[in-house]
Amino acid sequence: MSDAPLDPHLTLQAALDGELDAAGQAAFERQLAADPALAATYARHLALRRALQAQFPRTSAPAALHARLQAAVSPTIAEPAHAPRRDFMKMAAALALGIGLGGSATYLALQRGTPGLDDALIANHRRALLAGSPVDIASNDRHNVRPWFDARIAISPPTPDLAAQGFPLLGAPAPVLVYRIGAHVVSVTALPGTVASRPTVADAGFHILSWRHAGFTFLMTTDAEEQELVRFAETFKAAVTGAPAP
Amino acid sequence: MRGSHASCARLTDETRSRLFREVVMPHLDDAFVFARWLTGNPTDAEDVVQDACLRALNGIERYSGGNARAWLFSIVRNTTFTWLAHNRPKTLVLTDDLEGAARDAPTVSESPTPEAEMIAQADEALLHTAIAALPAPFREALVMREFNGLSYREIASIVDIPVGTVMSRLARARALLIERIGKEMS
Repeated sequence: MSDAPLDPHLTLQAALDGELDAAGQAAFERQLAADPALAATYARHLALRRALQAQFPRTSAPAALHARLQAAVSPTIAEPAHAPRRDFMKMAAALALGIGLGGSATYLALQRGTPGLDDALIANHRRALLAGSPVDIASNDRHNVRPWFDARIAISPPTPDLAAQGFPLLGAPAPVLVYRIGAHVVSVTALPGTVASRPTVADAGFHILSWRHAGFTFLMTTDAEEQELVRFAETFKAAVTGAPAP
Repeated sequence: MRGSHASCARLTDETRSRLFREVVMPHLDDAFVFARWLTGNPTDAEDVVQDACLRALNGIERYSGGNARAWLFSIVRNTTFTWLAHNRPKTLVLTDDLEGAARDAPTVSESPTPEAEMIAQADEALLHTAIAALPAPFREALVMREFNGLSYREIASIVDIPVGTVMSRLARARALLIERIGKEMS
């Protein structure tokens, strides 16, 4: 770095980018006047800058992205419930988005071990809140949700229907089950195998609770209160363990 | 451990939302432009930026004042690399390998050096191809400087390299672009 100013080609970059102080700029201009080859190189760099600015005018982020992010921090969370019957194309579009976005963070975190898992779960949960619909398969009928899992991924976690206990099943962005929990939702991520068990985690207003059963680790993530999550978890566990194996 | 989490969580949703709107949202366009060049297309850029912004929201308490745009860019950059490693593992070039390759590459080009007038007439397709062909560390430096207007100091802090390295990467990026334009247009 100390000898960088001695290289006229590096000084040329700094001059082009307005990074020289007044004295440095004056010295560079004297160099330019004395050195036609350097002046020609400088002219080429100026021309490149003009071409880049002319060909790539400033663009904005897509309005839809802007709107989704605004919605993510708006005080009222968009009503997550949707009419269960949607036309096929809409569902297919939501599905593609969910597979592309929903699963990737979790799997990445798992591949690296579990330190980033909480962040990934919370990010997935936020994503579920953020998407136009929180779910890829909108169904409150477990007979729809479970075959959907079977068809899409090799694993098929238990999908208990808890509507009678006050937690209607909204659907599943693979491989996550989304239940409504009062005004909030809870995402249940079912991961095959064992994830290090740990106590309930609270982070940034989210709560995560893990439970191992039948070869799966269920990670329940919610933006609701912790007591709500515990109450949900008990209901969920009871329903899963009581459910006859298919 | 529990205590520090709890103090983070004590940020109310309102504070969190307000910080997000003040710190992240004003730089959304810049983040998108950056991600678009790094991923190569607007669709992937949209996914990456959304993911990055959610990470920023989730970790908003880690923003300690100072340059908000540089903070967001670091997150976008990391998110992009994670995304590329996951979705396009073959395209990921390690910086260390690249520095070696850059050193070994001939610095004096045999192709004719284009005149400034010729460079000024380079069209979008040619420039796009030339930028896309740049090694990733050169490309990201060029994009941050030319399309995001970041200073050397900002780029240095985002990439975590000395300012002198920013300068030499920009010099290499520009030399490669000029060389390519000369080759394609002569």
